[in-house]
Amino acid sequence: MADTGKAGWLARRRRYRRGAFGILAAGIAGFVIGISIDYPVVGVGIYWAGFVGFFAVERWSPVELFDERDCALERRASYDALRLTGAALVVLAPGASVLEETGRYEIPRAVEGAFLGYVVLFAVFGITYLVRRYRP
Amino acid sequence: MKNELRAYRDEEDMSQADLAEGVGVSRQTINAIERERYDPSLELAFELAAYFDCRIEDLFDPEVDEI
Repeated sequence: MADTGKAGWLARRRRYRRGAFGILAAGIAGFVIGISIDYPVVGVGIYWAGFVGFFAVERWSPVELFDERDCALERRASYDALRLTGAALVVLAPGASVLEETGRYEIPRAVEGAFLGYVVLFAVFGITYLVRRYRP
Repeated sequence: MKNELRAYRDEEDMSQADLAEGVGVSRQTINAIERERYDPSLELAFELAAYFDCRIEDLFDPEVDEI
């Protein structure tokens, strides 16, 4: 049987994952607390620091925090999320526009913003797809 | 994908965590492969075969229909 020399790998991975997600949670908690005690700038700073800390641990930890199945699940979930939002955009956006044009319905600004957000999301998807296709 | 991972693991009397530790993935990944809910990458399949000192075809059956 091959000795892959990875003894203790799982325990180290668990430690680093806990650390990374702990930093992230602290950042989010700092944001909420900062907002609630009227220190919004400090809260946002802690929030950003939490994300920077999370990605720093992920980037420089000596063990992989996410294995290939984690990455596969993330890809699948992203794909499903895009399909769901895409279906919503295809069905709802033109329908709502037609109803508004015919004077039967006025699209709330929040819904308009959501549609615009979807359009931006798919535009970003299209650009990243092309980048990945031609510069893998 | 059908596989004999559990049989090989049982033969070595090792836990999913032991195998996960040995090949550098999580225990959940080993569990998902054994339950045929996740097909490993070629790299991991080779790693598993090397770990058990067998061929990939001994571990995994792609169920490809004969033409």
